[in-house]
Amino acid sequence: MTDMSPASRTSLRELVASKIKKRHAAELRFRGFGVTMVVSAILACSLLLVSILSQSVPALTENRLHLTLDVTAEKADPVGQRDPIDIREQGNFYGLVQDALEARFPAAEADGTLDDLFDVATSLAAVPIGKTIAADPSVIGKKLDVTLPINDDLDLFIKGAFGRTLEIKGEGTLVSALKPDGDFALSGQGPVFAKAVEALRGDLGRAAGSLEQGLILKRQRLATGQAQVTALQAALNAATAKAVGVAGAEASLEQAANNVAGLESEIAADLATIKTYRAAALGQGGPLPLGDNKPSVFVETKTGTYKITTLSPTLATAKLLVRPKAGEIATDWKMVQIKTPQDGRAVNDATIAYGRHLKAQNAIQPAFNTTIFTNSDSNEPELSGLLSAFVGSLLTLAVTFCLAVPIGVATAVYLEEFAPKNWLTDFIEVNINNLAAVPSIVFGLLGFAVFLTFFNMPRSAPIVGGIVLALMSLPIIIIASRAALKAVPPSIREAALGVGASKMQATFHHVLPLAMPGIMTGSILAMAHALGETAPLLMIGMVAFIADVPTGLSDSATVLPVELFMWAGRPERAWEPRTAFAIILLLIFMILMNAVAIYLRRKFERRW
Amino acid sequence: MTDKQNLTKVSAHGINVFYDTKQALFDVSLDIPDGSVTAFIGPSGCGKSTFLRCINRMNDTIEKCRVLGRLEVDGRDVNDRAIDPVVLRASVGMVFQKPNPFPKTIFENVAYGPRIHGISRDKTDLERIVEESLRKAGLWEEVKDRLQQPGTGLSGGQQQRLVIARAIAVNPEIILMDEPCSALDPIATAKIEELIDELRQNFCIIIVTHSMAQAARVSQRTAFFHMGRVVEVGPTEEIFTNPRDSRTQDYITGRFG
Amino acid sequence: MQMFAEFPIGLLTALVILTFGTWTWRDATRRANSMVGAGQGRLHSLPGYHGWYGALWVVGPALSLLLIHDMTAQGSIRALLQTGLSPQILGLSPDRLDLFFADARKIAFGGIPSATTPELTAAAASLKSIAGGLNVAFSAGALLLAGLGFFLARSQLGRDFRARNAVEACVRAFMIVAAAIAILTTAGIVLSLLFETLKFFSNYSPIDFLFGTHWSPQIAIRADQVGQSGAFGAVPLFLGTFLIMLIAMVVAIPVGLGSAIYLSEYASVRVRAFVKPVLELLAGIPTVVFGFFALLTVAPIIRALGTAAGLDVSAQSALAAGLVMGIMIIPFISSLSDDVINSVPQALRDGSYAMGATKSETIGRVVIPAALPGIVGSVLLAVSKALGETMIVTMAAGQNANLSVNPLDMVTTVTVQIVTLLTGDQEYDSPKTHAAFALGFVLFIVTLILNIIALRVVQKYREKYD
Repeated sequence: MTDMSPASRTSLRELVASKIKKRHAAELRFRGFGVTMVVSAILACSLLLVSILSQSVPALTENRLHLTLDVTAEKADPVGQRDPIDIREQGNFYGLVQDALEARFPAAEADGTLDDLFDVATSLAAVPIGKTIAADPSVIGKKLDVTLPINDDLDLFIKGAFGRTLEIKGEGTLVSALKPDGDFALSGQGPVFAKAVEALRGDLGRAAGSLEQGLILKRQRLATGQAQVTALQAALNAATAKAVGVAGAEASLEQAANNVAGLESEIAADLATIKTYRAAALGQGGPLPLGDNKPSVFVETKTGTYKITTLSPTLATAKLLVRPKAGEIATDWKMVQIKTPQDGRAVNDATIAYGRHLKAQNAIQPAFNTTIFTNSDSNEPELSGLLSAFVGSLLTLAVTFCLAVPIGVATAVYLEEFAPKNWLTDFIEVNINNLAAVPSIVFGLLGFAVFLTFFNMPRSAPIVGGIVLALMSLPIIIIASRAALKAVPPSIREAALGVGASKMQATFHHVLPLAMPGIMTGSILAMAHALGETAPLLMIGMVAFIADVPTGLSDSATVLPVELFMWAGRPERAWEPRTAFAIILLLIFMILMNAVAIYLRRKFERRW
Repeated sequence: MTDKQNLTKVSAHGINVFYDTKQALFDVSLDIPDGSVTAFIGPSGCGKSTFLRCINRMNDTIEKCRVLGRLEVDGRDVNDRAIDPVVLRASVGMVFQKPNPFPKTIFENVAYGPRIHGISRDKTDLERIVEESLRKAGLWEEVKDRLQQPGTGLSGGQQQRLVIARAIAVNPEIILMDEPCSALDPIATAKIEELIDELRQNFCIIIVTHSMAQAARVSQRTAFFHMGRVVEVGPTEEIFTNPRDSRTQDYITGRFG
Repeated sequence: MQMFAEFPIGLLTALVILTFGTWTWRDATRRANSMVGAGQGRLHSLPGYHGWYGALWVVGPALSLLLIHDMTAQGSIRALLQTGLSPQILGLSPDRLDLFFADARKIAFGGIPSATTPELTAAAASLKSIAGGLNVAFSAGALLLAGLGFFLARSQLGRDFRARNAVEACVRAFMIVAAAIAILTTAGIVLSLLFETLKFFSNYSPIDFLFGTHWSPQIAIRADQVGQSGAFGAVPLFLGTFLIMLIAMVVAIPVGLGSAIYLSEYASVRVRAFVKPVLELLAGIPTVVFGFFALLTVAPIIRALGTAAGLDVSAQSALAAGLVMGIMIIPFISSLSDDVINSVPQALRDGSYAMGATKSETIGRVVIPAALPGIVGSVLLAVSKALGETMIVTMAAGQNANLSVNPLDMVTTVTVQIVTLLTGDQEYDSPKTHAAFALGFVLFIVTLILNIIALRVVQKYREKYD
């Protein structure tokens, strides 16, 4: 800037102008970065919601078995006194269900598929029937229409969770002939199975492809393992030389060598499988071999089902799953292919075959999933519900609310309106701010040490959970309430004091009511937070199997988030959609609470 | 210098400014000569700051603010789409009411403009620019030993001079000052006024002020704004001794404002 | 008495007492009013205070008694029931005895007991009558207290009685007790952690704990394993915690800060009105939901991607847990930074624009440096949150204490181990329990230091610009 002459200024402007393009490009890049970040935050949020919503879909409905039971006295009331307690405790209600199922498929016992048929519904599902009969023993000896949830895996299968079920309508009349080895030979007029063979070949080709993909990784692992063996061998040699730690080195080497051997045999097996798949896919080697580790293929007639073991365009050999009615002429038949092999699912082919027939007979029908609302926790996914956890959450939150809100508001009022400004109140303030940032699990440890160990209060009890959550929510409520009190202008206090109110009256008659919307908003948000809190409750034993609805504050209970934590950890597949469904219910509660808070804030918002 | 004074540096024709639906300036037309100090006076909310902010297009940073009309700097319309406000502001510096040094060292505050515009060749060049700007702003002697200390640690008057040094470091042609002394004590004000008088040699200076005494002390020309309109403009002496408009008369004699 | 075991007589009594309290309030108020009307001159306190004074005496002691009953009922019922049981049942092992009582309760109050024996049925019957008796006794006691309170308050009602002062003193005492709870909580945390940690260190060297690299808290089965009581070298835990926190921060800092900058500096009102609620929604989602998301959505995706790229990815990788934790922390960082960035004075931005700086130059060279202390504070708070986060890592990070910094490996964290150590069926007084408290103590100290620094920095920053 030394030179103020017009010429030097002009050259300076030109210099600035020459760099402007680059600067604007940088501006655009920066802005783009900002947009990208916002979009990724929104994407993350949507991915979370979409994945949970889509996971929950199978749990929205449940398939129910509708049966007409023949309530015989010998099974329902073996004692014979028509005493409700006897009935509930001694009756064999699952037996009634079994009888009804067997009546529909009389050949099941002879065919040895009775257990598969009974797998359609679990014994626990029959418990409510007992309650019905106990409540009205007069039905004994009569017919009773009942509805019960079906086995969770069959339910998932019907909902299509094991991949799409492919159906090919058969042409002509199917002829089945019993072979000497007990299997059946199925044939029709001409190459009736050609379409199915075609589809299966494609599948086998793809299966071989994905096995080949997996081989790459396995070979890598093998290479690493072999290198490890070499290294461990060297280490063993060194150890032997020094005569120190030989045993340990030997053990490690042995383990690594076993690992390598295992991988080698796996790879060999995979190679063999790939070879047969490829050959079959190309149509070499005769009829297609099928089995429990390959997609299941059924031939289904109106009343019976066969499972195919080998398949060529004109002839299939098959095992009997459901025996058709004697003398049935199979004009209306179809081929059914289930992508997931029997080995890859918890429900076997025979149960599926029975399930399909029951569904065709309208004995299995889908309905909105009400079990999840009316039942409590259970080991069987299809019988599990959230009722006990919901009541547990309600009780726990009631304790939290009753403790945290009055104490929090009182603290805030005291600190904001009455407390002298000295080191003690400063200390309390610092204390509260820090407590707000203490990890929640530490509050759990506090609850464990103080309430369970020291005060000997009951484990898993809503009262303890409520106290722990209250201590955790206190700082949040105090901070929000103080902000609301601060927002009330001093002129209000001065006006009240000016007309002769006591400090207490000024606060409780004038300041507090004006701050109330803010306080309530803060409190509701704190409650919503407490509703979703899990970690501290694990510490005080609220992670428990609770099949009964808690009725008091010291009963064993669990809460919604802990319940879904437990569900998420259980191995059966059916827990996944149920957990997702539970999450959605929990989120709905939280959104409702937040909406109330936002509504309050909007409605009573005041600008001074 | 005298010949420079006759050149028109800024020339406004029919400027209207709207904040959303409220109109802040009505049809303002005004010529401002180079090499002199022009003062804008008038009661609060009369639009003088709004007009000042039109010259370097600072109104762009306010959402919902629309500027209509033609405003020329050196004969080019600044509201033209082809004009980049970034380039424009490199030649039209601005000093605000409250000193606003960046939370950086004194050196970095002054080096800010040269750095962002990339106009220093190297480090020594930058040091030279900083030193000369501080000298021009009359601050060098006070801060030369503490260039690496934060600019926010200076006194209010020093901060305002630091901000002026920051503005002149990119060698602008016009410096806009929006009530630069209203947050300062009388001694600091006197120093700034002295500085303004010196800077007149090299820059076209436009100052918005509330103090008529200040306008009389530092400016050669004065424009009186009232309710979004320019009521009267002319040589300072004339405005203060012999105003043509009765509203100007009333204002300078203290009947309102 | 049996009928009162299930009948909610306690609740009913509480309702009666509350109604009685309300009535007392009105009655005392009316009485005080009538004293004014009867020309006894001005009362010391307004009639309403006399009402409150009476109501407090009626409701306070009585409800406290009911509450005490509810909290102690389980213990007292069991104690009373035990006096009437045969020695042969009392001689059962504690576990069996617990089961016996649980079954008795189930028979008494409905539920599915694990067994039904005549002893159980008898015990259930006496349990029911004991519970009913206790309910009736405590309810009667509460009603008695309420009545006594009523007459006490009424006897004091008079022209010169300072009801307002009494009520205000009561309220004030309540407020002081409430404010003390915050300190008591902190004291409780520090003392309980310290006490149990010292117990742990009396058996296990602090050096081995803080610097040992082998963590296997399971009690040894084979004799040649390290230590009979498990190994508690926490370095793998610290490393795992740090690794996951680091991954989370790598996600959360750019996204959170970038969003905050964009929203406060660039976004139009409409964009802000859409994005802010989305971020608030994200902030309100319980961590257990994030854990589920990590376990069942993100981890499989990462595993599939890794396998496709020829990498060996553990089913519960640090990467999955860290990524999801990062997502969880985004709104935390963005809302704190948003506040901080918004509190940078507009004058600084104007100064920069007036110099001819572009928006990004202004943000990068003026706004961010000015807001830096506040941003650092919010990042520190976020780090503290990440270190203490429990559910995501419990569900998605796994239990294996690997000494690894590979994000594709399974690692474990301090919080996971606390949960694992304390949710088993162990006794309260075992080395595993104490180890959990030692971990909790380390976690508490580290997060406390971070919080204090962060709150200080943010506070200082606020003071600078307010």
